[in-house]
Amino acid sequence: MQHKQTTLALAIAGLFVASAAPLAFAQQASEVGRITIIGEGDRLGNGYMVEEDGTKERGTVTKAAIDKARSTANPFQLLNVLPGVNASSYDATGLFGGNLRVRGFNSDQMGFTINGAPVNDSGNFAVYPQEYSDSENLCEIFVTQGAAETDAPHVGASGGNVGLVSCGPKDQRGGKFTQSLGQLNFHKTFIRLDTGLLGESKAAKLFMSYSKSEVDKFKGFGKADRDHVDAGLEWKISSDTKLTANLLYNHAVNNNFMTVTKAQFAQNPSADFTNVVPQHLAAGNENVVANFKYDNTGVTGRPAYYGYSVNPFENYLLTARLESRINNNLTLSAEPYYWYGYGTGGTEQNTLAESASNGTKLGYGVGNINGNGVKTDTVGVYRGSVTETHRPGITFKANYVVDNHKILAGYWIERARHRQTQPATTVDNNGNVANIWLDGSLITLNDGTLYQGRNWLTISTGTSAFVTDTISLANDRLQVVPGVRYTSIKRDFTNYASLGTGAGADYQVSRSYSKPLGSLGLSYKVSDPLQVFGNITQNMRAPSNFVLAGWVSSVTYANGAVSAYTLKPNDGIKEETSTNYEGGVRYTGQDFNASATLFQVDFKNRIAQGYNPNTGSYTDFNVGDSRTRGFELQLGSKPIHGWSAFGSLTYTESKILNDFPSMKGGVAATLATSGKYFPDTPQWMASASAQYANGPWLAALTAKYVGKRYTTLTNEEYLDPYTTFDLDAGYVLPNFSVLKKPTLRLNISNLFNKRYLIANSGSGSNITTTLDATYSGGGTPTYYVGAPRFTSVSFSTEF
Amino acid sequence: MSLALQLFRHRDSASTAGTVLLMLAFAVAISLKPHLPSKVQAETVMEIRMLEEAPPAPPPPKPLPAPTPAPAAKLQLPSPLPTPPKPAVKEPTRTSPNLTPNLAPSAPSPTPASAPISTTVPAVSSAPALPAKEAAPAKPVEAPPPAPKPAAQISDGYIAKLRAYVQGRKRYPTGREASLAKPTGTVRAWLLLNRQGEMQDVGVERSSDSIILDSEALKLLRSGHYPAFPDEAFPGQGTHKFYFDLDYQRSGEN
Repeated sequence: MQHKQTTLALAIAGLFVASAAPLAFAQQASEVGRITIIGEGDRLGNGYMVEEDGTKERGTVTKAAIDKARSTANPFQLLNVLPGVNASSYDATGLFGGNLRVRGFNSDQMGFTINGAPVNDSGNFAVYPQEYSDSENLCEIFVTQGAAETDAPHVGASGGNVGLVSCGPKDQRGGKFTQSLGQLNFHKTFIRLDTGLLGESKAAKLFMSYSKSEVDKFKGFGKADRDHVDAGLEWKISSDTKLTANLLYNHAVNNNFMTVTKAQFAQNPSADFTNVVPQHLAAGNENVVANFKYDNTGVTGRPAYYGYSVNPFENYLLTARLESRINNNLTLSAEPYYWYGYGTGGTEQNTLAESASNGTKLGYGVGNINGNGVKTDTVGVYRGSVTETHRPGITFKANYVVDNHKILAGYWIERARHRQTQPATTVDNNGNVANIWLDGSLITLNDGTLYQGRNWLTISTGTSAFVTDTISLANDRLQVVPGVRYTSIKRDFTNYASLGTGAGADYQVSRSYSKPLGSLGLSYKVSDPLQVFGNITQNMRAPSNFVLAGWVSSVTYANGAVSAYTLKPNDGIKEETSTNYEGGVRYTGQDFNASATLFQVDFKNRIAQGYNPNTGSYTDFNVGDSRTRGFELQLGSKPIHGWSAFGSLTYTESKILNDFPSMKGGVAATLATSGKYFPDTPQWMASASAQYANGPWLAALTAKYVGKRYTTLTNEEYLDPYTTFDLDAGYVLPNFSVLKKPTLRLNISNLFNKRYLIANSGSGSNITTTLDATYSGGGTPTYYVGAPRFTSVSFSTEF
Repeated sequence: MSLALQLFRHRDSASTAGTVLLMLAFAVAISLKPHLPSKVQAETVMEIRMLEEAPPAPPPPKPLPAPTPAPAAKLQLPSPLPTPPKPAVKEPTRTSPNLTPNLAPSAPSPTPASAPISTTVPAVSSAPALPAKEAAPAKPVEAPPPAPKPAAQISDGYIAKLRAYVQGRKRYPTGREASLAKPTGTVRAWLLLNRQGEMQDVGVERSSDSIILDSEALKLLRSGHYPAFPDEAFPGQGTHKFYFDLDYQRSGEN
């Protein structure tokens, strides 16, 4: 106060002098100097937080956090401590995959991208996190818990978004080597080479990495076996134009874990597939107990043979980004990508009945499988659902700055050619499969054509035109961000006659789903440390392609070909839509940052298997609405005497808003689900991570609490809460010869060996509606078993 | 054995308690931290003064007009005292070489149109410079109008303060665009303040070649709350322009 008066006095005095004295010269500008801003790191919340200032709640896992985790950790595991996120992994290493739910939305209802390219399955939007980048090459994983990203290439996201961003090549020539070893014969070898900046102009740089990982299952028999290649290019073509490109290749052959019921788990927590090879009979019916017929719920008989429940998969993903600054106001970019995937999964142990050549069957019936000359056997085979996807796409974007507007406009288009078949091959009495990939040695029909239990081709053409305008007001302290996108997907579905249910004749059908989706966001910096934000966004998710399958009924064949059939469409399915409301506050302090977000999601027309009044049958249909409300808190500290911490707390109240249209004994019947909680959506979740880093030492203890969650729509069954602890420790050795930052690392997952179960439910069709099996969709839910304590060590070094 | 059983039976509550303990540890860790003065701008001005009083006054100001460019005026400023010991100030503050360390008592300039009242007389009081040493350890708040100091030194103090403030607010841009584009580069940007510390304008002098970074730099400078100039700083200027080289990098990629 005193001071202000003085200033005022001086100012007044100055006015007088000013009028008296002539202008004196003084330099009107000063250099403040260089200020360096580094994008990521351990500076906040152990690497689980960055300083956000957008209009949405958004979480980031930085490279610093990724580097502390086990080298095989998949993105779901890395995201698990963030607010709102309920992630699980089928084993400790992450090599078998897992599941993710955020605000009640399952991973197949969220949009996933790698370097901007969508990686959800083009048909059913499923996500397979174990296929993606090696964690050594990942720089950032981000999640928007509920709000749509208007510019993201998704047609299948009624929930939020997750993005993975690869690290580019390094400026210096060198590389990195990591060797990990652990329990269950775990090993991973990773090697990466960087060219450094190349040539006279030093404009381009490249990297390439290869890794090999294996680990045994923690229960039952079998293992995961993964080969992975990542490569990257960054080329600064001119000062205004930059090209980046990334390649990802993954080849994996995993044995599946068997899911179990609660009763099974109580009886034997290690219940899994058997190692007893089912034996062929000399002749006759192999579809009997003790042979190829199996029962995985363990009530009677025995489970399938582990060697006939495998998940071989191969993918590659090429992404590129060409970005050019046209002038100070305009940047254009093109982001093409190409995704390829091939593989099979599930339990492939099956039987097929041979048939004598018979013109009233498709292709004259299944031929002689076992070659014994008799066509009357039911033979044990390996049959799997094969998926092959070719998926090119491109996003064009323009970023235009004018006055206080920052406009982002763009267009995305992709064409996914998605082939889904179900061929079969032979197995012998030692458990050998003629071809686990099902791309050769396949069983044929009597007319020589391939046996198929399913034979679909879906061309999905997705597009999105979008524009957002970031309007800055009040000295950039207020941001208003309106946005709109028009998203559409056209499914051209062809069913080729196969022996599958409702699939006996060729037919083609096209369906389009489209919707304009709006969003409005706002953020205001009340003071330097305090910001408020809020948004409303609309999301949509088109029905999966399989709703277009199984329409054939009353089919007859003459001379092995279709002579008559009826099409019974499962029609009238609309897209799911959701509206996400968020409001929150962020605090940016000297010692810590924190945020609190309130949210509500209105979810309409959820797609699941239910009673469809249009067709009078139990098929995929819009079964109703739900509402989810809650809050998410997070807090991350800056390192203080080596100590730092991150914590999050999530409260979610999810309510189903109507009764479920089911069937009982072939008649429409409703289940009382109104007011019940949504499955696998815990009311409470919390995470906490404390880290101590001092000189070469680093140790971090991370805890995650997952509350009680229901597993049937009628809420008759639930899973108990659990808390797991993970310990990650490291020691950086002195540089030695060419070795830079040689580091020893210890990772212990589930430190206290907590036993728990994980819900095995996707977004729709495989959620058990009720324990009462007399209802369609009813039955006993099965679960994955949480992985027990697992310890691994690693040595890594740069060079 | 029974202990083990007990532990096992209570594993749920124990693990929940563990979580709570972790949270507590977290809270304690924060509270343990020695309380550093916040870098809020209100106190800033005073801090600068204290600082300036600390070093023995260089050449005593000439009695009257004679605008002697004091040779010692370029002396290196010690970094502001109370700033946290972070490696914030990597490079010494550089004052524009031709920033005249003009002590001229009569250096008011006609205020630029944008800055209405701001003109202040730099060192109006020609009070003798003696009390400097005594004043140094004095309580900050009630400090009487300070002894005259070389304006350049006071200006440098302000610049250091400004730098520390911007250091404290800087951030790498977030959002989907920035995450995917991963831009790096240096924006040379300027900030124009009036004597009250009110932001008059900002601009990009040299682009980073990235619109995202340029916008972030402008937002950083435009949205700040800046302290008023010390009376003696930037003598005779109604406004002053500050240049920043904002170097945006990403860890793990070079």
